[in-house]
Amino acid sequence: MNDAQITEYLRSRSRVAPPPSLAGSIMAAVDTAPTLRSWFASLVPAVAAVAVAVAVLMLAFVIGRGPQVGPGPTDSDQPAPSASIVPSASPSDAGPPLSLLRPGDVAEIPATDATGEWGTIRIERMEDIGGYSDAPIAEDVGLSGEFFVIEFFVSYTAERMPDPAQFGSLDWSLRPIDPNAEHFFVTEAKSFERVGGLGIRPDDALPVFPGAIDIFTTPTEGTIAFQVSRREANLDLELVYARTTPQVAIPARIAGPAPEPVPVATPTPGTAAPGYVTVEGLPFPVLDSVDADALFTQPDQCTNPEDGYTVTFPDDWYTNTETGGVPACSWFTPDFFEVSAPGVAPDDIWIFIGVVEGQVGYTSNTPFYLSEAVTVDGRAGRRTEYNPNPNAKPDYRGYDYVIPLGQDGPTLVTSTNSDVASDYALAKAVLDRIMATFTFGD
Amino acid sequence: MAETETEGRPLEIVSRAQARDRDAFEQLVEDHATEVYRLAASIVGAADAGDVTQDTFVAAWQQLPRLRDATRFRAWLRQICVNRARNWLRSAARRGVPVGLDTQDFLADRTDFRRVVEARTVIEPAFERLNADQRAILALHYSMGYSIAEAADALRVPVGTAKSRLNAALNVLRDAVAEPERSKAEASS
Repeated sequence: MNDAQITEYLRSRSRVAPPPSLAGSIMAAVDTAPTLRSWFASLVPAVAAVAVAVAVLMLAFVIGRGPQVGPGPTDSDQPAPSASIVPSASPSDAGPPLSLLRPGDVAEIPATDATGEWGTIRIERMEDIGGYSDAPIAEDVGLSGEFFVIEFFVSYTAERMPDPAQFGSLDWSLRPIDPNAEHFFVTEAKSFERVGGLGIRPDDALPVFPGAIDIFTTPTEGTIAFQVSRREANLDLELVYARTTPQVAIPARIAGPAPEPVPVATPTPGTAAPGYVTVEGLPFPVLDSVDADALFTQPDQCTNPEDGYTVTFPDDWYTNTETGGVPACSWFTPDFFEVSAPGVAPDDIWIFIGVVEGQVGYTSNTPFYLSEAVTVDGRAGRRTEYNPNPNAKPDYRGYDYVIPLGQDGPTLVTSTNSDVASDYALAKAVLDRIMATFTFGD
Repeated sequence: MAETETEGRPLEIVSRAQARDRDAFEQLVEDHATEVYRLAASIVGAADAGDVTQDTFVAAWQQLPRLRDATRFRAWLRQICVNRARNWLRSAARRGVPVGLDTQDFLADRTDFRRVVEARTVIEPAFERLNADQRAILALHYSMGYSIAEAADALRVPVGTAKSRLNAALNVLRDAVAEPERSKAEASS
């Protein structure tokens, strides 16, 4: 491989034609995008009241781009909004800008649909929290300590049925005020659910109301929670109500330190999920399986020399030797198998173990049937069972352990699923026991 | 005429767009969408280029009144695109690999990477392992053919910094491409 081939490849990356509809879709997005205007002027009286240090900070924002690292809390009781360019915080030009910057702040805005206002929404800012000790954030496996949560309590008061009727958590998102923020992101509200007997807070989560309810008598309120990366704590954030055009955006957080992470409790025998049992000598509950227990009566052992780990596995089972760059001790299956192409796993493999670069997460709409913290040989991780595409494959189940080996990776991933394992229940139970006896090399 | 036009369009079009003239902005979209799309594709790949292009123009529409020098519209748009593309990559890295979708395939990908010697198959995974800044400088200079000065402007870094980044990124790519070849040579010896 030479430089000419590399540069030719790089040139080829730009030899693409945009879809014919591109300009149209851009203009459609432009038409629904909020128009930005400065609200700095309207804040001048408040700015005058704050400490000199804050004024200096604001000057920095006015002169140029805000600092990459947030200023942290000020000594003043008065929140110090940075002078970023933000969408209007008020649904109309009348009245002072709305603010949800401090816990306890309340904002009221019209609930809207395609034909106009259908009611009122009251939003109360809650405290930022570092996580939920009894219910780890499920969407970003193994990374719950890297996130904090911003909560709002939302109440809808209806004057008529909205059209379309559906409303609730889907109305809300959180984003940086500065659209050029280096870590720009848009976070959708989480409509957490109780899944598989595992509590996912907040218990009073605002649902998506289907519309087939008596909106005038059914309480339509609840908490919306936003999971925000700690590295984005240095951004000014705004809460966006997306049901109106232009969207209503309310300043919701000033850049500053995130709350300390809340340790997620390691499962104990008393809190084992249904179907899991405590086995003497194993560090965490495993799926109850007489067959799996029998397989581990006199287990075999193998070591992955590249990634340095050692596992025990059923003596009757088979694992791989190094093949095509795949280290030994990466694949496990009860049936004898042959590798027809180096590095390519045969269809017979039930369980995969691998170390991958970077962090590993799940798509936010992944339904979880199990999601719990586990500690594997002293390293915190998560065990999950999920279906990534319930519409296409409703019966599919995947079962993973994901163990971060560093803040930004690599990550140990061990996995089985109902497609590859003809006895999926046994595969899960065996994987549990493999991971319960897993040891990392130094 | 650099004083009165920006890439063939009268500056008046940009000025009208700055004054929130939607039709004028639509003309700018038609003029520049293909270039922005190709730049986005060079950095994030064709699959996500449409989203990045759309983000770029939405941001441009929102911020256009703040553009002080209308003659710099094209370069300014390029800056927004690069910034959006880098954010896109960082966001994707933060989201991580959706193992819920493709654990098995992902683990297998690593093996494919090591065993396949066909040029594109080797270089593409290596390119995708580069960080956002490395991808951006390679895309600007090699994929899009911008000069070092133009690339530096798009990245908002000095020319010297752009040169050193380009050299470093190329070396990283060379090393990444060489790795599977070394493995293959070792395996066959």
